[in-house]
Amino acid sequence: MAVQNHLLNSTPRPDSREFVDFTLNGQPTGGFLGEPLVDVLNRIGTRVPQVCYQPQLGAIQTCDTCMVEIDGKLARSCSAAVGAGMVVSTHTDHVDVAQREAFDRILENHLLYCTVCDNNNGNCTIHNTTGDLDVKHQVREYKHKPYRQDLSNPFYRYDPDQCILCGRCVEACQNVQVNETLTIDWTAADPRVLWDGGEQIAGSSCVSCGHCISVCPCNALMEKSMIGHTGYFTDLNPQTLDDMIKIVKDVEPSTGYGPILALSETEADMRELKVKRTKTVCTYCGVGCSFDVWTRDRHILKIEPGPGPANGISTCVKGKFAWDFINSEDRLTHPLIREGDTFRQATWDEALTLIATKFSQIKAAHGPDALGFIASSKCTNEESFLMQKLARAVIGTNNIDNCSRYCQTPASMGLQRTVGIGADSGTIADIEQAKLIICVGTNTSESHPVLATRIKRSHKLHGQRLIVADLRKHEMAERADLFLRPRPSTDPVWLNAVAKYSLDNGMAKLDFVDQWVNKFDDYKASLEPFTLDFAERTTGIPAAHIVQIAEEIHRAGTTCILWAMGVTQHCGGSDTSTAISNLLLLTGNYMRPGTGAYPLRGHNNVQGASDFGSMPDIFSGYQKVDDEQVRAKFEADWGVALPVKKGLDNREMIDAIHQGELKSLYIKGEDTITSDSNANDVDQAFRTLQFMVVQDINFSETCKYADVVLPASPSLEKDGTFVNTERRIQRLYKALDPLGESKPDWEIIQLIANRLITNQRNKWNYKHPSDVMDEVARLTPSMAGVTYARLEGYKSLLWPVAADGADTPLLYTDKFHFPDGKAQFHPVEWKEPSEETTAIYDLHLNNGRMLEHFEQGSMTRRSPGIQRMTPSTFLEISPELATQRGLADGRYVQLKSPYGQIKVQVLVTDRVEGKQMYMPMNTVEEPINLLTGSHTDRATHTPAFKELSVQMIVLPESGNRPLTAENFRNGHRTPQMGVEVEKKWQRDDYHVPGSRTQDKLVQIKSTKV
Amino acid sequence: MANPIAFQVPAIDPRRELERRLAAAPQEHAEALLVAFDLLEEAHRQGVLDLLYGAVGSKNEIFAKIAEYVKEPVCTQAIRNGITVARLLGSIDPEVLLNVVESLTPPVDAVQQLNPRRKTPSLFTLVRRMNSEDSRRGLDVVTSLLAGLGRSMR
Repeated sequence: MAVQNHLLNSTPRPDSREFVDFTLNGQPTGGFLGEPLVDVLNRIGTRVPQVCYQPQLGAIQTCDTCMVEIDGKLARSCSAAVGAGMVVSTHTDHVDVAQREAFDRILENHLLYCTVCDNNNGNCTIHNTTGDLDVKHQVREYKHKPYRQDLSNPFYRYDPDQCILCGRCVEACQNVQVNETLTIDWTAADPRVLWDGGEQIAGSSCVSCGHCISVCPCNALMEKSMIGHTGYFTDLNPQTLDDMIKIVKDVEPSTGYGPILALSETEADMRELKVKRTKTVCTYCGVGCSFDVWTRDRHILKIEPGPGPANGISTCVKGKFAWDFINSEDRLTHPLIREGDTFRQATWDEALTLIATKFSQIKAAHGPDALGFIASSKCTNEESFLMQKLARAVIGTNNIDNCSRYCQTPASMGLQRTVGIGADSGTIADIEQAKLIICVGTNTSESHPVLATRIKRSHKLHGQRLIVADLRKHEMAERADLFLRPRPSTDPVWLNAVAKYSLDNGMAKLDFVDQWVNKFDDYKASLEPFTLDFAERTTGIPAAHIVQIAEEIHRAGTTCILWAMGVTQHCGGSDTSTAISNLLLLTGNYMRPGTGAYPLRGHNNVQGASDFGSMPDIFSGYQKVDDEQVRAKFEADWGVALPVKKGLDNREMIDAIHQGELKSLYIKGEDTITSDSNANDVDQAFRTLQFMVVQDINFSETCKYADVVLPASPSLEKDGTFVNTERRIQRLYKALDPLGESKPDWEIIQLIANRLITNQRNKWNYKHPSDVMDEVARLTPSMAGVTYARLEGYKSLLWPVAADGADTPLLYTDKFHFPDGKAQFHPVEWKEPSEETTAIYDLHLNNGRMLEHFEQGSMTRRSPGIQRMTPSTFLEISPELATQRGLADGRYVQLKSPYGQIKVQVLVTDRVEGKQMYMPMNTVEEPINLLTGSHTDRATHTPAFKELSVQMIVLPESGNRPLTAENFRNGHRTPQMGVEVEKKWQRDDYHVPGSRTQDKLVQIKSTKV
Repeated sequence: MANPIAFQVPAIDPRRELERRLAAAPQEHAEALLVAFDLLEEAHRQGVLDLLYGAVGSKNEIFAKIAEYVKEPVCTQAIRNGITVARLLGSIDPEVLLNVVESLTPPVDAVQQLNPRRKTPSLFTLVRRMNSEDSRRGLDVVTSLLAGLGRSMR
């Protein structure tokens, strides 16, 4: 194949491609050498039909409708590469015959009933191609397939009767999502799309990512939420619809397709009055997928990805399908005030008066530092900024933090120590083009699914090498070229051993170090203990593997290291993150495309929550609160004196409550009782608070402790911006009105602030979140050029953003973020974990995420489809442990730690080994944090969630296997290289359209209606 | 002291949400609402509103009934024939058809006004008439139509 398998997130540098001349329809034109001819044709407006071609998928070559003549011979323009001097014709008779023959074959597989089809929204490829070719009639009569519709998946349906076998879905699944579930058996008498080689979706390895539906050029694959909701007639009784279709088909020989298409296009235009398409950014993980959300009144029709800079056509099950929580029946719609042993509905006025009164009283009696504020990683940047402004400028305290404290702060610390900026050094484009990816403590395919697709694709198609270090054999580990299973909490050891081995064997980039990195001697000395022998004894990783890692880094030339909670949620999380960055510096893996450090942010806006100042020691843009000049700037702008000393972080706030120093908490969008470690300890703290305000979209577990509960609006009900893990700032637009009396968080914070501010001149007057962003830009050098205009639509900016709008896709291209422009090694030593297993607590309990659920399930457990797939949590135990303890799937066990106990069902799986166990954190019933202790990272106080030893008591009860039969983890992938169109070409009934005389279809004329 | 309290948020009443939006609507859409009220009143007086109410309420049944009958072969054939006839009519130059109609009008009128006691023309009169240029022109059209009909029945 001439062109294929391009990178998805990376844009070729303009100067890297040669521009060549060629002739098109007798006229001179040009394109980039090697680019798909069809891209040139589309770019210059000489369109040819193209049913299976989709730029992000590349050439599939199944539909044959894009035929052109190149140097006198028929060729598919999707797979033809631009070459100098070629002579291309798109309008000859021969080309016309070939295109129409190809399309007639497609219409044999697809019944056109556009006016009553839910996919008739102006973007249906089959409909539009019928119009573009001005097809009057089809020669081949439509043929039913011998298969039923598959409705077994909770989110989408497959209708084989409408499937044109273009293979876009297969290509997307095999080579973009790289879940490798879909195939087409071209040797079958009646080929169809298959799931794990079979005919049923449920129970296959399909992860419901939605790629196949998004790329389907017709209605064969369709979201169930669209069916019966989109058109004016599509909700009619199915028998009536069938009758109407029959009428049209019977009349059509007299009218041709022209008038019928005109009717359907009119109906499609009418739909635009009711169907709203709004751009938004996903509210789930830190990848920052952006897409259009289609709504009809409050019904969410579908999520339509396309031009998102982080994701393109990619989505995951949550971003594509898990939006039911928006219209959940139990959304908070009115303020609630605690009264006795219940809550009662209150007016906003009443709630705000109570809050203002209590805040004022506590501040007057105990000082401003008696109040604490916890911001949300799910709310917008503007809301984060206003929350810290409320705390600092109105109350007078720096006691503000956000949930990055629970996960990402150690990573930021490690990077701030070594390279100066605690954020991803590049973008997903760098990750996909790197020659080597090392994943440490990240279950990327489940926690950052779309980002993982780029790694999987590069690994499968571009020879990217993959090394994974994790306790658990998850999907990335299965795909890895080298999979390491270190003992818990020993990552710094093998990382430093790799560094030492590289240094001792001439694989360190010493010229880079000399030019760009300080404190080399200190670092070198600190590596002395980390011999191969020591590393092997401590970590359990064979010395040969440590050597291999060093050699792979050396050989690759460009390496990215990705990490997540498996690294950060340890007492040495900051040190491990530092060790990672040290290794990257030693091997010269900064300052170039395809290199760098990538702590993967877990939530949609955990990056932004910190970037915009919701931290106890910084203002927006990481400007220090104890820096006089910085503070003076904010004081001048806000018109108030600001607190000087660093405030309390989340964990310190809990301690301060126990000590009687913190009397009040205002928590926005965070379920602290289930997110923080040692839930029993947090429970005791909350019970002693004098006054607590919780602001959320649902009545969370934390709301149970509140004195006032405020109803907030989720992302679809407001404007704002998020920052993803790439440092990419993106806009979200309001698609729906707030439900009931709920309000966007920024409006609520402003209302509270204005109740507390007595000086009329200082009252806040933000009319729109863009006003807040303008203030941020004014006060924050790294955001100086951020404006809503520059973020219009799908545009984005990667901070730092200069005043002229120039952003920074790759950090450190000129220098590092230290005064002398150099990075610095930061030596770290290794310490034993806080909790080793003991005679009593003899099992290690790892914990983390699941693909289909998010956090404690507040949003995803309100999705019936996801609940059906994964209704309950479970405990993964190894087959050897199951045998030893006499356990089988579904058996209940009690897990005990020194801090608490829970009851859970077991799932026996080889994803874990030996005495390692794993439990997802995605539940509030029997939550994992009842077991975790109060150990924290030494530098940042991030709870050491991963350092947990437990005792397991087998209970007599047993239940069903906690993983339902239709869960994708039961499936078996069927990997192949794309759609394998060569097998279609080998079929006896196939010939290249236009290559035979009878391909000229006399009934189809080229005149327009 | 804040002991945790479990609380079941009352289910959203969609009617209250609509009431809230309805309460805001008059201010936002005052002029349009006034015109709409006038339209409704007139439609009600004319009985159109009742008819529309019935039609909208029975949308499914109405479409089902129509589809049930229209899908019968006799109906679809009638539709197709109607389209064919419409095409035929559309293919005729209106000026030609007008001339034909105008030229046929006097003889048709004459036939209609025929007195049964009027003298029958002689054979010679009829042959002379048929031999006229106008008659031969008319025969040309008629025989061409016949030939076309015969061809289509092959």
